[in-house]
Amino acid sequence: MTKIPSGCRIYSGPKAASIEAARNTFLKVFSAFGYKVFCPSTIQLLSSCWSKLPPSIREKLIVLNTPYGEAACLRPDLTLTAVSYISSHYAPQERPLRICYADKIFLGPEEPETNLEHLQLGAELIGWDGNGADIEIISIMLKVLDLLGHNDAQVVIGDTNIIDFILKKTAPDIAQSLRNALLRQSLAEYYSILERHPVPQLKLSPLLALPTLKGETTILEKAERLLPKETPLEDIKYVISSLEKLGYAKRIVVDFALSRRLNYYSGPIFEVYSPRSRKLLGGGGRYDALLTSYGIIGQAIGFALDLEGITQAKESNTTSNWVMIWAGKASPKNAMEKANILADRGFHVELSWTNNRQQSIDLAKRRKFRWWLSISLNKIYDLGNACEYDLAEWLEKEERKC
Amino acid sequence: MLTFALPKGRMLKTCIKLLKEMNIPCVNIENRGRALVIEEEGIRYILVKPMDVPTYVHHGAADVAFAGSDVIWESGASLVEITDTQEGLCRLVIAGPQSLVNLFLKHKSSLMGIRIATKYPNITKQYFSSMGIQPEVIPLKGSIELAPLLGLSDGILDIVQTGETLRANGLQVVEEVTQVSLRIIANNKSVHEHWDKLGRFLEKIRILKERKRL
Repeated sequence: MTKIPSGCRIYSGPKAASIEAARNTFLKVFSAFGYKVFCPSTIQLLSSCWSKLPPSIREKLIVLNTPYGEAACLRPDLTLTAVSYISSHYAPQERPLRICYADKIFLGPEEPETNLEHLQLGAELIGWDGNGADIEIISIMLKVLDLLGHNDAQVVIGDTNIIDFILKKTAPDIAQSLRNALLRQSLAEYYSILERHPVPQLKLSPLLALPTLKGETTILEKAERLLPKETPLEDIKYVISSLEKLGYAKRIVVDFALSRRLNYYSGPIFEVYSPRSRKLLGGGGRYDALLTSYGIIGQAIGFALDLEGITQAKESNTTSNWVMIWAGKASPKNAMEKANILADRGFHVELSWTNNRQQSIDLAKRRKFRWWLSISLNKIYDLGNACEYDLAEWLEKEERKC
Repeated sequence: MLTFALPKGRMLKTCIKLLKEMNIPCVNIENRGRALVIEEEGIRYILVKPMDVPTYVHHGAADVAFAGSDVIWESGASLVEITDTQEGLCRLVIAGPQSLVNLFLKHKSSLMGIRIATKYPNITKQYFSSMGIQPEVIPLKGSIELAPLLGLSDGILDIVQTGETLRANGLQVVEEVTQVSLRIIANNKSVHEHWDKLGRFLEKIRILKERKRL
C-alpha cells in the first residue's frame, strides 16, 4: 500500500507521537473535570443528520450506501453526533452531561484546502444552565492549550444574540442577507446591502458599527456607546469579565460580528487562534437552538479544535525525555526491568539490542534522543550535553525535579 | 509587521494609487526593480500573480491584500472581505458568437452540455449549475476569446471592461454573471490581530468613496 486517496494522510514518527500526546492530554484534562469520553460511529445515517446541517456542509458530505442498503455519510460534525446520541439515550434527570472526544470528521475538500479528513478534539456540556457553563468549557480549553504549548493562544469572543438583536431592526429579507454576508465574512457585501437598502438613520448607526466592533476587551465600552441600550450585552460581558478574573485578560479579543459557519449557534460563541499557527485552531459556542431541535430544552455549549493545527507547535519537543536503552551483553531480563522503571517514571524508552555500542549511540542521536543508557555499565549519558551520570543518582535527581 | 499582498500586472497601478490615497507608505514599490518583497515603514509588500492573492491570504502568508472579487469567488478561499474599493470595475460575463446568442434565446434545456472556455472553471460550474445546466468547462490560461473562434468552445466566461476585445473578435455579451471590483481582503486571524490597522483601511476607503460621490 504505497498510494492513499487524495485528501487523506498517514501520520507516523514524531508527528504521530505529537498527535497522540495532544489527544491524551486533552482527554486526560477534560476527564479530570468529569467529561466522559465519547466514541461515536464514523458512518451516520443521512436521515438523522441531513435536516440539522447547513447547506454549505450538506454540499460537502461524503455520502455512501452501507452494505445493508442504508443511505449514509461519513460523520461531518461531532457536536451533532453527540447531541443526537444524548437526546435519544439519556433521560432528562441524567443531565447535565459532559462529554469529550478526539476523533475524525470527514468533509469534501474546501478549496484551496485539499484534505477530506480532519482530526478534532472537542467537548460538550449539555443541560447545565447559566453562564458558568460557558466559563467552565472555555477555561478548561485554555488550560489544555497551555499544556500543549499554546499559552499565548487567543480566544475571539462574540455573541449571536447581539447580531440577531441588531439585525432584527431591519426587514426580515434584509436581515437575512446581512446575516449571510457576515457568515461569508464579507464586510464589503454587508455594507453594500446597507447602501442598496436604505434603513432609517436611527437604526442604521448600530448596523454600521456592528462589524467594526472588534478588538481588545475595552471595545465593550465602545459597544455600549454605539449600540442601543436594550442590546443584550450581559452574556458577553459576563463571559469576558469571568475569564479576565481567571487571568486570561490578555488572551481575549472581542468581535461583535463573529459568525460561525455552522448555523446551530445561539448565544456566546468563540474562535481560537495561536500566534504560531496561521490558521484557525477551532471554536465553538452556545447551541441551545440545536438542542431544542432534538427535543431537549436547556442550554448547551461545546467546541472543537483542529488536532493537527495544535500539534504543529509541539512537534520539536517530543524526544527530550526519551531514553535509548542499550542492552549490550546484559540479559534481556535486566534490560526490561530497567526499561520498566523508566517507563513507569514517565520516560519514553526504546530498547536497542545490538551488540555494537557505537551503533546504538548513533541510532539514539539519529532519532534525536536526549538520553542513552548502558545497562551493563549502569550509566546514562546526556547526548546533547555530553555528560555521564550513574543511573541510580540520575534517577534520584530526576525524581527530585518532578 | 503587516504583510500586504498586491496583485502584479495591470491592477498594480490601481493598488498603488489607492495606497497613496489612503496615505499608506508605498514609495518603495514604485522603485522595486525586480524585487517581489518590499518593506516600507512596518509593512511588508509581496507581489504575487492576481489569481494567487486569495491563496496567500487564506494560508496566512499575507495578512491583507488587494484582490478582484472575481478572483476571490474563483478561489473559494476562506477570508474576510474588508471593503469594496469600487476601483477596477468590470463585469464577469458569458460571451460568444451570434450562434451562442441564439442558443440562449432557445429553451434552457438546449444549453445542457454547452462548452465554455474560461479562466474561471469554478465560477462557470457554479453559475451554470445554479440554472440547472451542466456545462463542459474548458479551462484556459489566456486569450480566451480565441476559443469560440476556433470551435474549441461555444462561448466564454471572462471579464469585460469596455467590450472592445470581444467586439474585435466578433463576440458579444450574452449574460452578465456579476460585477467585479477590487476588494481589500484579510486573513481571518489577521483581522483579529491587526484590526486597529485594518479597521482604518475600511474607514479610509469609506472616506474616499464619499469624496468621489461628492
